[in-house]
Amino acid sequence: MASRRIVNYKLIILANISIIWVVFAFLFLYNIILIDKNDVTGRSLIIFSLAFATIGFIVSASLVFYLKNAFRHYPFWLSVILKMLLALALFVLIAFVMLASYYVFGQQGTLNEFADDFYRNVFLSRAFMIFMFDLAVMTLLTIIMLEVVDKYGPGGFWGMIRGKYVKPRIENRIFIFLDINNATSIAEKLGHTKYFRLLRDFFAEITIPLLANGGEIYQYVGDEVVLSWKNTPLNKQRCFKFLRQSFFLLKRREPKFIKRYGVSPTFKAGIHSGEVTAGVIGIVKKDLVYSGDTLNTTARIRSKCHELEESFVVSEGFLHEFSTPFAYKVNEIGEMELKGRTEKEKLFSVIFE
Amino acid sequence: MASKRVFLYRLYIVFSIVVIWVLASLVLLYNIVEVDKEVLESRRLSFFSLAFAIVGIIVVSAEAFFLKDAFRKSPIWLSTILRMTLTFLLFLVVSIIVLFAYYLFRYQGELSFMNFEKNFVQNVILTPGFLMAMIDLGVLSFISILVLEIADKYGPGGLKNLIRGRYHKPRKENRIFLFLDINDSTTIAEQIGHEKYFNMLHDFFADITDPILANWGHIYQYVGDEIVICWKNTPVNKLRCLKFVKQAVLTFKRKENYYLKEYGVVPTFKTGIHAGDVTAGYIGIIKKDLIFSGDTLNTAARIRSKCHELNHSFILSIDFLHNFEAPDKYNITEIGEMEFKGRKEKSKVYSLEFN
Repeated sequence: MASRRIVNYKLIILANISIIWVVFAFLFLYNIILIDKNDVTGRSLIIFSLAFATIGFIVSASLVFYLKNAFRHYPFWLSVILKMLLALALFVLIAFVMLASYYVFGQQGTLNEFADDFYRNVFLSRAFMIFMFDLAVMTLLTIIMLEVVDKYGPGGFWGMIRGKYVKPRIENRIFIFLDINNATSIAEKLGHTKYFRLLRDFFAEITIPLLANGGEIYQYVGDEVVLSWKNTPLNKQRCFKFLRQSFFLLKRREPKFIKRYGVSPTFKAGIHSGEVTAGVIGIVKKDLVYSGDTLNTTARIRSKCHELEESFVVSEGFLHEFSTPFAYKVNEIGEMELKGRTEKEKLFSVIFE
Repeated sequence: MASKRVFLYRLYIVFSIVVIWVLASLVLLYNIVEVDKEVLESRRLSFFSLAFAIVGIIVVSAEAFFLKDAFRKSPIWLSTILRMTLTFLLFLVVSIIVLFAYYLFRYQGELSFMNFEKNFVQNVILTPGFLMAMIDLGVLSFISILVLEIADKYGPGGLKNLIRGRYHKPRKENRIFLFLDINDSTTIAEQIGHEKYFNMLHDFFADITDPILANWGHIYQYVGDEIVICWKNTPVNKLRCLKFVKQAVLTFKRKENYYLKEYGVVPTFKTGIHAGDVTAGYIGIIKKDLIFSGDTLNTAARIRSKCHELNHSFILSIDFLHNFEAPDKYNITEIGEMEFKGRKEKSKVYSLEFN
């Protein structure tokens, strides 16, 4: 079910976390060498790191791709415990497979001798205990990291570490305000809890085209989501593609939504671009904020959708220096007053052909 | 500059992190005991944990109260390196003081500094146990710095709600919402330039943090120049909500000179207050956030936008005043009616003034 784009995005996170595992492998090896000199002297650092990277990769991969959503209906602390248990089971399984292959290919002697030998020399050694313990700590850190990265959104965590918005900076950005049609009447029909689930599924669906086109989720405002791109001709095209792909994706998912909720959501969007000031705001709750008239204008364009009876409305500012690809039909449909400007801004509708 | 409320809030976070330090110390002691049997044989576990807790309190407090703001203007990776270096210096200072105390009170050998130094370097600094303790402290300091940053992203109570799983299923809640907006933001921005305006916005939200924390408000989100604050809908919280507005007004009166000097304008604000049912839950796949959904929020936003039209700074809805008797010092008068979505009749709105 997960699309290629989401897999790619998760792979990047996976690679980053594996790097963290390798860094910790060096630290841990130092610990273990100190404790159990005889056991580890024969092994080289590279093999140890490689082993750690492999285990880290397997554990993180299972967390990222399978376990992450498996327990999402449980409270976080409970899901952490369950995930840790499963990861432990995975360790044991991997260890067992490795031992079996070692027995088949490398061991001289009977099975009993081997088992006895293994139990005494490996399983009960202090190094093994510490090793298991270190793995558990790493798994816990991985689970927490995965959760935190999702809070920041794609690129957000990295932006925070890099300090991209430590000083406010002026950026030229494209914004899309996207809203479900007839939200109030759907909510009344479904009841609020079911409506919330619909909203969640809806946002989950449009995540795929969003990632495919390199967009960024700025924030959720009520039932509305605000998406953003850097303002370049290429991104304008991507922005159009995103609309088109979401539109058709939701059409394809219509039976699923109807079966589950009795209605299929459609959306309207207002698109505009311009300068905003970007920076981090707040003391006890910090957040990246884009401030400026561009956002207010985009919100107003979105609210014009209803009035003009069009699903997708684009401003003249967005279309400036941009030739629309053939697959899209753009028609002038009206104009709107802008704050602080005497001329009116022309508005255009977008239709897919 | 940090006020009492922010200080108390940070203190609370410091203690949560110190709990992590103590837990880690139990684990690490096991490691170190294995490495250096002789050195640690005579020491007890509780003693070791206590030592770790003390070092933890010193380091984390230094991080939370001084170092965090000191490097606010540098990127996190740089500030982390600088803070780790400073923390390391702090370790050294603390250990030297402890050693001197030991030297003064307990040392039985010849009182020759060379002799002592030789002993100290050979028996303490160069042991694997000491090195490991240093590495472990380094890792813990690094994790503390990250946790401090991440806790701020989630906001007060946010991390706790996530771990407890309070909203893992969407739930209905009755909440008070307060939308707060700077007056004439467009004009001010044009007047002083966008970058300066953003700095003013930063200061404005920093100053308003105090009354929010003092009255147990929860910062829901920043929407452009607007901040949305919420409380659970109880009579006590309604009173706190009114108190918050009053304290916020007084805060900016007090800071008038600062804003005039720095920006040439004093920000004033308008608010719309409303209460009602919302559905709360987590949303999103690649960007997860706790959101409140429902008409209550739209209505609160519309009440806030009525401020300009009705020429009042603070407007309350009739739903907020339901079952609530405001104290005499708050002057609440009816000023008009507006349509609420999903209701046939118009509902009354009231203005709030202070005596």
